[in-house]
Formats: sequence, structure tokens, C-alpha cells
Amino acid sequence: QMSQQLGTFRSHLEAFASKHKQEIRKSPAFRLQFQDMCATIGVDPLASGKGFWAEMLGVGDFYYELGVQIIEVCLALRHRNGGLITLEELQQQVLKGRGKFAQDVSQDDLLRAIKKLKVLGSGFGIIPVGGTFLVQSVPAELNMDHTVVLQLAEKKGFVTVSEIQASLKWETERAKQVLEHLLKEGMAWLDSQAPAEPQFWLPALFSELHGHD
Amino acid sequence: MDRFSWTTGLLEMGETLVVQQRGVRLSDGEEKVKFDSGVLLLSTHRLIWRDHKNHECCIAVPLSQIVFIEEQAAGIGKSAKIVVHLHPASSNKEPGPFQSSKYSYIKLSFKEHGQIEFYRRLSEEITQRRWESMPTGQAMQVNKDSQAGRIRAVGIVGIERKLEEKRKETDKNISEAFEDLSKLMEKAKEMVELSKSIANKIKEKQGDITEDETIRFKSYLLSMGIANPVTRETYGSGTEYHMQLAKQLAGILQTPLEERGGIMSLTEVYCLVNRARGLELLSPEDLVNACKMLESLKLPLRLRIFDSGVMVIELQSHNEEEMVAAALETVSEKGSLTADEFAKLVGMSVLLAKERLLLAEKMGHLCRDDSVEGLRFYPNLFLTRS
Repeated sequence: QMSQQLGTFRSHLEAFASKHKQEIRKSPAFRLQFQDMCATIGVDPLASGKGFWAEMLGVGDFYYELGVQIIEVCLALRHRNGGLITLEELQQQVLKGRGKFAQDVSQDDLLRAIKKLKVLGSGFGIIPVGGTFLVQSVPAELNMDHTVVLQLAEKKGFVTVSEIQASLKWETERAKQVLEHLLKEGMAWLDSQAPAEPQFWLPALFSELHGHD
Repeated sequence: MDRFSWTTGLLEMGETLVVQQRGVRLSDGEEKVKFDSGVLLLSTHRLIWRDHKNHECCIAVPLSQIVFIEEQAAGIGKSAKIVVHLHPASSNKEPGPFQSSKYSYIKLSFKEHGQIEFYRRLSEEITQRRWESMPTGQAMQVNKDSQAGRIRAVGIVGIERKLEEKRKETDKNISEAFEDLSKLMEKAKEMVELSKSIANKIKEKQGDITEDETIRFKSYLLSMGIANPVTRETYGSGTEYHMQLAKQLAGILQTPLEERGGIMSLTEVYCLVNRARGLELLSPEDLVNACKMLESLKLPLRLRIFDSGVMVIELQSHNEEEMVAAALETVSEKGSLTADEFAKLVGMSVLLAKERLLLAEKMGHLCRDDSVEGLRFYPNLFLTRS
């Protein structure tokens, strides 16, 4: 009974693909709509390369290849930012790597590809900060405390113990522990020569520095 | 900003549109002006900006006025920009929004991205200087003779009509696509409902259903991308497809593993395999599900999951515990090592180097020194010297 229905559905999908396959590849807006609708009905078009969606719409290859590119960019920059990168910078670097003639990639595309990469166990994660996201690509433990400090740092690219105390009302010890953890993981750099007090900078937020590579 | 002239925004004969980008703000040098959000169009002859709300507000500057351009990468809270340095305005320039300006450059802020593509195209146009070989005449001058004006008007209207048709065609295509998409999703929804009812039947008849039918059901779920409601395993894990994939992987990965000391992280495997395939790539879940079957299929590779959650593929012949003994020797020779240093010495990825050192620590061979300068490992003298 199911195999018959499946066959019918497959031909519907084939018909759809022959008309609109290009649209999926070319239009980030269409991809977004497609993904949202799939999620609403409880279907994951990216679950398997062997699924109908991947096979006929080619939507799988687009995201899986993007996954490879994301992994490579994160690996290349890890030594500098400790495994944290803004979604904007990731997008810029990925677009650069894809070259002149590749299709456009939206931030939503990147987020979906990253969500799929989580299952590989190497620490991929997404942290909301400010109006955007930080992408984590190392298996470092970042709990709520760390995340909240990252969000605080996003405004200026750095944060101090006093700021944490003022904004979050934490004790010095708690603030110091979080900052030390970020230092150890290579995600934060210490400027001990700052005028008022030591500043903890996040290289992930230094887009200007990276722009000239 | 005094180099700009008011324009209707219509392209002239011989002028072609190259690229356009929404969400662009213009600045006069360092100062903001009222041209806050609009569409920026690049043609073979001019740079045109049109306000996104008020289409009457449209200005342009000839590409011949451009001296050079530079990129300004995005910053914290700032969009990416292109800085356009301009020659002084010519005396017979058409009237524009500004009579004078203290700056010789303007900035284009790309609030909705697209800066990379635009910069590339603008560079090309400035280099190729196509406006020199495609004369259009000063179509916007007030004092043109009426006959020529009429001919030009027809030409312009014709071009405008074509653009409008193209826009309508694109819109039609898009709305048709969305309509078809909705219909498709309705059908997909039916499939999801059907799979749920089948799953319920399976649960009830636990025993009445054959192994064969269960396997077939799983592959249906895989095709549709539906989570398995019975076992709640990830999508279609343990299907025929994954078994075959596991066998394939064993073949593909043998040599790369040997070259890398018998161990690779799953992300490395993902990149390696997909780069080699080029088409019909594996999803991350496909890879994980296939690797989970390696051991049960008695293949010469296995999946191993470290405490940290890091997943690796090892050759069966690989013995990480033995590698730990070698690692201990290396660390002892150097006195102490961080994961980065160890990785460089041995020629491993930092991720796997760290796991090996952590394992050595777990086995009691190494001690850690955890400071702000990083995580450093020392031979465990408590063990050897006590």
C-alpha cells in the first residue's frame, strides 16, 4: 500500500523537479520557503543523500557540499579565532572560496548546513549573539555563562570584568572563570595593557582584520 | 556627491544593465546623505541609484567619472562598502542633488550584502570601458532636436517595455514555482500521515510483521526524509543502503587511514569522501549511520566515540592505547607538550592530538597543567616515581 503511494509521490516530485529544479539552486528565497515548508510537515529533505529530495531536486548536494566548505574554512581559521567565527565572516570566506561563478549562498543556507554537521561530533554549534550568530567548530564546552559573555562582547569586540559585573551582576570570581576558559580555548585574547583594566578581545569579532587575507 | 545627476533611470540605447543590488546606501565621503536605502544599478555606462520607496528619486553618475574603487570589508555593526573615487564634476554636467561637495569620493554601503559580486562587475566595467565603444548620446539634455528626441523616445520605451516584460515573466515564474511547491507539500504531508498510521499498525501487531516489511518501511522513511516513529532512531538508520555504504567506505578509507596513522575524525572522512564523489554526496547522517554498522558487518574499520563526543574512524588494527605509550615517550622527551605542539611534532590534526593526550591522561600516564596559557601535558611523575 505504501509503495504505491510512494511511487505516486515520486512522480509528483519528478514533475516538480523538471520545472523548478533550477529555482532551488539559484534562489536562496525559494530554498528558504522550501525548507520551512518541509519542517512544518515533518520532513527533513537533508536527512539522506539517498532521499527523494536530494536525488531529484539536487537540494542535498548543495547543502552537503556547503558543509564541506564550512568545515574547511573553520579549520583554516581555527588557529586565529579558537574555533569561533561570526556567521557574516563565515559567509564571506565561503563565498570567496566558491569562486566567481558559484551560486549565491545565504546565511540561512549556512545555518542549515551547520545544523547537519553537528551529528559528526566535532563540536559544530550555533550561538546567537546580538542580531547574528557565532559558529563554533571545536568540541569546547560552552555553557550558558560563556554564551552570555560572548553576547556581551559582541557590541565592541571585547569585554572587561567590570562590564560583566555591571551588566550581569555576577561576582568577580564567576566572571574571571568564564573569561579564563575563553582564553584557554583560544577564543579570547588578553590585552593587559588596556588603560582602565584588562580587556578580553574576541578574534571571531575582528572582521576588519580578516578582510585582508 | 556633486558628481551625480538626476535621471529617469531608463537605460539609453546601447546601454545595457550589468548587475543590480538592493539595500544600498550612498554616502558623500564620510557623511551620510538622505539616500539611505535604494537599488544600485550598474550599466555599461553609468552607476544609477534609485530610492526603493520613491522611484522618482533616481540619480546617476557616468562610469567615466570613476578614478578607482576600493573595497571596505564589513565590520562590527557595519556593512561592507565600496569606496568610489571620482574625477571632479565636468562643467556641463546635468543638474543633480548636490551643487558641491568637499569630498572626492562616495561610499556605497551594502546593507543586504551583494558587495562582492557588485565590486567584481564594477571593476570589470571600469576596465573594459564599454561606454567608449557604445555611444549613447546625451539623452538627458534638455536642448536636443525634437526629431532625434522622438526616435530616442521610442527606443527607450521599447527597452523599458522589454525590462517590464522580463520582470513580469520572472514574477510569474516565481509565483508558479511557489504554487507548485505548496501543492507538492500537500502531497508530502499525506505521505507523513500515512507513515504514522503504518507505524502505529506495526506497534500494535508487534510480531505479525516480517523482518522484510520492517526493512522496507525503513527505506520508505529514508526516501521521504521522515523520522522513524517506531524506533525513534534517526532517519532510516540501518537500512540496506547504509549497509552497502559501509562496505564502500571500508574500501575507500583503507589507504587514507593508513596514510594518517590509522585514525581520522569523522569530519575529515566526510570531506574526503564527498570531495572524491563530486556528485550524489553523502549527508552527514548517512555517514554516521553507515559507520555505526561497520563493526557489526565485521569490516576492517570501526567507529569510535571519545568522551568528548569526538567521533573517529579507526583501522581495526589500530590500537589507540598503544599509541598512547608512544605519545608518552614523545611528551617525556620534550618535558611537556600542548595539543598544538604535539600535533605539529607528530603530524596529526590538533583535534586528534588532543584526544590522544586526554586518553593518555585518563590512563594515568600524563598530568595536565591547565592555565590561561593553555592546556599542557606532563608525564605523570606521581605514578612513576612514587
